[in-house]
Amino acid sequence: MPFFLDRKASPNRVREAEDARRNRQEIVKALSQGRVSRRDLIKWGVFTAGGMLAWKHGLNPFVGSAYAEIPTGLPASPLFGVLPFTTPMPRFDVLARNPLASLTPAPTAQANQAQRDVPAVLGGGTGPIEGRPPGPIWAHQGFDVFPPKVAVQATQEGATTNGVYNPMVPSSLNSGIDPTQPIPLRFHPGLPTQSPLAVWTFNGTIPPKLVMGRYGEPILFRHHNRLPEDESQNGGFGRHTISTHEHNGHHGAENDGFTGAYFYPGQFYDYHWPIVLAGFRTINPDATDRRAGSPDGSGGIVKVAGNWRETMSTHWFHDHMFSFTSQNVYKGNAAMFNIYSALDRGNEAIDDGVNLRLPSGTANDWGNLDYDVNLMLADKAWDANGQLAFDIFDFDGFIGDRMTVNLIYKPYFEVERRKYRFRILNASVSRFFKLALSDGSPMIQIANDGNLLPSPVVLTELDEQGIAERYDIVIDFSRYPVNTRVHFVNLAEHEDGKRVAKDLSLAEALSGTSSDPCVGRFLEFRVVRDPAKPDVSRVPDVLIPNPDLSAVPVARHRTFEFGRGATQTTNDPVSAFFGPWGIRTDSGANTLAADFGRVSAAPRAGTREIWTLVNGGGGWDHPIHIHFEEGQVLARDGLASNVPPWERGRKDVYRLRPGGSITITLQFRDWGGMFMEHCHNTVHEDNAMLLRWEIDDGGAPFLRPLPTPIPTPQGVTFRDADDVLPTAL
Amino acid sequence: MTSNRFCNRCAAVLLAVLAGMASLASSADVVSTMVPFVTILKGSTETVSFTGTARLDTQVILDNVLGNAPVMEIVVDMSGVTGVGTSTGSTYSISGPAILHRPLSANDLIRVTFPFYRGSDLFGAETVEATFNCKFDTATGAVTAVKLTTLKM
Repeated sequence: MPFFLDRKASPNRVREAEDARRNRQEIVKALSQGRVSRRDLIKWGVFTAGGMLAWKHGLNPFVGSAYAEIPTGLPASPLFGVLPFTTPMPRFDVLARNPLASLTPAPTAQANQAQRDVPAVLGGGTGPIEGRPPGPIWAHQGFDVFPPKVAVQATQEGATTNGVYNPMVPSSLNSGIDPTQPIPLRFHPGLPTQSPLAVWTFNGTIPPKLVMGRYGEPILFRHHNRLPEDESQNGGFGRHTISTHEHNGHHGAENDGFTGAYFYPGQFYDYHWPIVLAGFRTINPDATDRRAGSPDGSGGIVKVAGNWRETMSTHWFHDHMFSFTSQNVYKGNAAMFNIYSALDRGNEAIDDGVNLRLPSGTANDWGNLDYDVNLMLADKAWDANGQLAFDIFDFDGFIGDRMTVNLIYKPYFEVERRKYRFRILNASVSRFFKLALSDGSPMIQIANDGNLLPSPVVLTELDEQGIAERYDIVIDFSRYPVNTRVHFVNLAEHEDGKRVAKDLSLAEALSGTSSDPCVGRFLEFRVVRDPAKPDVSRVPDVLIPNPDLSAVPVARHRTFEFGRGATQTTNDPVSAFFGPWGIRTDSGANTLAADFGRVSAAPRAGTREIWTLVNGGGGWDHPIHIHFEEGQVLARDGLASNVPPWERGRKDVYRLRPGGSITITLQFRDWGGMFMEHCHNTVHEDNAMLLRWEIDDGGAPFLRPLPTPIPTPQGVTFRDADDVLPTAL
Repeated sequence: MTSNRFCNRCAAVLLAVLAGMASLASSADVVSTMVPFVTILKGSTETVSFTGTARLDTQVILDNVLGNAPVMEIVVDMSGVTGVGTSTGSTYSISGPAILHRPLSANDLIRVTFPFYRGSDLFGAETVEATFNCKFDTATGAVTAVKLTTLKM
């Protein structure tokens, strides 16, 4: 059953589908603006208690059409005559790194409670300029030990033209794009410019943003919320309150983007990213190991404390607003964060016995992007006017019908005849990808999620890549003659947002017969020349071995089952949310819907646990993200031998596979506070497959359990946790 | 296939039948089928003779909640196959596995590509396409018959 109508669908059917979509958009709009609740819609019979859109003609797209006994589907996103591979893919836009003194007001350990006038539409009165919860519990942990050295600022705002694009590479390495030319926010030069209400990105612009950081150099990321003050000014979807999650930062919870620590238009939130190696309190605490290090700016290494085997590389950051993550991320709240280290320093020439010399470049001591390319893959859809559109069929997921890379519809990218590293992020709402090159040539996977693998893995077809997973791969274009064109191909066919319907063969995907418009070629590599300088990059046989946890006793085993039919046992109007999805913890009586006021697990600081994540059904897949700590996969479906080579490093997103389970081990160290675990199919997350866990015994001033923040424009208040599961502590 | 594919239709080979070769895997729901793999591929530097056993792990996954059609999870593992370069005597490996989700069907053509490479020369890897023409017992997911062909890409 195709999600989107075929382009050959009759005009009557398309018109009918447009009507249906318009009806559903009214529902999405009312929900996003808080004018109705999900309970209201269930009461009115619009949604079923199981979370499906009622089978009413004009609402559910799978209801039989008036013109034939077939589903109405969705009208295809119009292309306005645009053809694939006719515009270049822009490299990410690197956010400026400034001195801390550039921040006004200066950052503070506890949230800045200086008052401002709150607009009437937000309730009037006064409220704090910073949206971070106040007081010692939400103060930056380690602010004195790891004081920020670099300031990065960004706004969140409606679409506008970019006049300050900084790709950090010359135009010749950016497919000829002239960075001095203004860049309107549109998915292709032939497509309409997005309105400020349709798209909300960092700084309101494209290309997507990239933060570059390095170990030993803490960053203060100040995020300004400049979204419309009026909640209803959202173009039909998206919520103007945001919480920015640095996925999978090893930071204190106050900097994690907790789902209930959101902030309002007109406020900022200071996120302190200390960028430390995990285990810094107990492993290599005196910083004597050169492998635990950071580029010093002049070819050397600054040694830092911690375990070098915990070095991380490719992160991203995105909104985590409770119940609105899918809409806000889809609307543009997604960026990437490259972390550089002595091992992965972004310089392929420095030969110091530590640097892995992965493809990158040579001009700078660290962070060369010449041959190190961030790719953000996301499926989108737009309405008849070309404006970004979001639709809820049901709560199983949302998939778009247009592939974008770095927010450009099916672009091309010029490459030289040499090795490139691609940091591939799946930034979709519900879509999984499975990538191959159109000629079947091998690629070398070097990292999974934020972490370099113990050993590289050569593959011709990557594994399915779930939402939020990052796959770093190396492609050697020296195998191709100049003027070759080769494509990235998506093999994973979807029919809906629940899971991959069919992994196609390369031939099937290239045949053009799939009903899924996002199957097939989506990015064209154009081999344009030989490199000006010899390619001295390498992919060593050994990258980053896993931390050896054998000496760390296992304190607890926990089980989390991800399924449907959730019940809600709490009813806090702010922290609890009703939805069909939920999580059953430790064989509890119920599969529970989300409540960020409920504590489902509270591991002791300094311990290691084993968690088994179980898919409660065979009709869907879930990419489960556990915040803060990376895990090692011990088994799939109970067997270590089922763990494929590319999952044998550290990870932070775990695809369960339909009917499957995965067993991981992870430690709880260094920082405390409240974190989350959830499905990163963000429609599932928002409807209500999310739980809170916390580390609350890390030392004063922590409480057990922690009070729950309840943000308002006038300030954040706290409530006691409204539920603590019996097995949590 | 595309025009820029390095289509070297050399060595399509084999084979084979398999009644009686399916055996239950360690998980009750997963059925493992061993498929003899014997082929000769003309690589860019030398011809390579591969022998060994490909393993197909198949599992029918039911949707007991929403009642959607079952899906078949198929894991194609080539770790039991090794190659020898006919000129140099070097050892070649095939990387993998491939993990696929496909609608449950009594007949399915499972076409997967794998890299093969000499020693640890990952950048010298080339591609072989393996096509498993399978018949399945749709109740158990067991492969009841399979024919394997290979193609150097």
